[in-house]
Amino acid sequence: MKNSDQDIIRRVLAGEQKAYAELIDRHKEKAMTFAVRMLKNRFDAEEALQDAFIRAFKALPGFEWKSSFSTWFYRIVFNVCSTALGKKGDTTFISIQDESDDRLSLEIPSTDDEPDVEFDQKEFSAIIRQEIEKMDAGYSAILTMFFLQEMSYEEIMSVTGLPLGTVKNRLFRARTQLRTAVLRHFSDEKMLERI
Amino acid sequence: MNDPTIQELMEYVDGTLEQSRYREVESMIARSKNLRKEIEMLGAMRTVVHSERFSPSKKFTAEIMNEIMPQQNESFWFRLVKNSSNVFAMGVVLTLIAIVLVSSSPSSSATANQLSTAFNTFSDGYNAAFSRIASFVQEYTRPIDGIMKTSFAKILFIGLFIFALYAVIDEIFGKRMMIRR
Repeated sequence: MKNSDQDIIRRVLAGEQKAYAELIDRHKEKAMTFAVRMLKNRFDAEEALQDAFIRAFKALPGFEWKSSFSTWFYRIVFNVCSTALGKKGDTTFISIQDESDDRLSLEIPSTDDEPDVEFDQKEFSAIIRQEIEKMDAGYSAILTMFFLQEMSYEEIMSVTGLPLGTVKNRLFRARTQLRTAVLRHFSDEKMLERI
Repeated sequence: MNDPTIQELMEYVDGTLEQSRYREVESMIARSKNLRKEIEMLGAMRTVVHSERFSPSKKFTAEIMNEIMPQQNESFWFRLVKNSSNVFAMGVVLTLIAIVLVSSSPSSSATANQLSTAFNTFSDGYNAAFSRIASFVQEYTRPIDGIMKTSFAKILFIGLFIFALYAVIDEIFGKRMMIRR
């Protein structure tokens, strides 16, 4: 039977430090993806992630089980990456601005008089990847937490420290940006007008 | 019944749309090809983001573990080289000191006493012994010009060279074998 995060952490805290490697192997891929999405650079992401894992190890005795290890750990990754972004001069997460978005209430017509758009799966995937690459860290990080880590709004709030409205809004904007890019690529101007 | 907003369609895909509105939207989707396309696109978007992964380098875990507990992660060969070179170097230095003491002393009995003192003080503490031996050697090796022509000085020089060589091997070769960042 596979050990849970909780079992592994208990073993580490009991002195079996080698067990921490299991925890790293279990989380490294998703966490790496998250870090790459934030920092837009594999080298920086790997360095930040190493730092995060070492910090998490040192802080493990203080882990209080109030949240899952995953949420707690992603908070560390997020903070490390935010610091790295701050050093680069990117303050997406720090800036306070009105993030209300009128497009939230944009209705999608249920009538079928719109031009039909066919998506090629490979092209579709490529566009999504390119668009995420271009996306601000503040949006791509939340998108990744929501889709890849399958975190709830509450968990994302806990990781980022952002209020619920901002989390929802950023997620909406990120998805809208992807949708716009896809439609721009596959459809004609008429299709774009309704975005 | 209003057409669904883009936000509602996203919530529909996420399964977070309110139950009452969910049914309305569901029935509209069933009737509209346009909405089905939207749903298909939003779903595919989710799948792409979910499926794309980045893996760190192969040594990633080992590097972190080495940072966390470096001693346990040093390879056998590294420890072997590290320890054997230290022991060997120490042996060479002690042997050379003994040779210097024996060959340069005015009488064998006096040398034996001095050698014994040197070894005893060595066991009491490296620093204390080193300073004593250094002063002892200095006393018997003046002037340097003359000493350098003698055989024990050559041996001493070779010994120090071997010691330095091993220190370099230990530093460079040993570190290469150890898994490090």
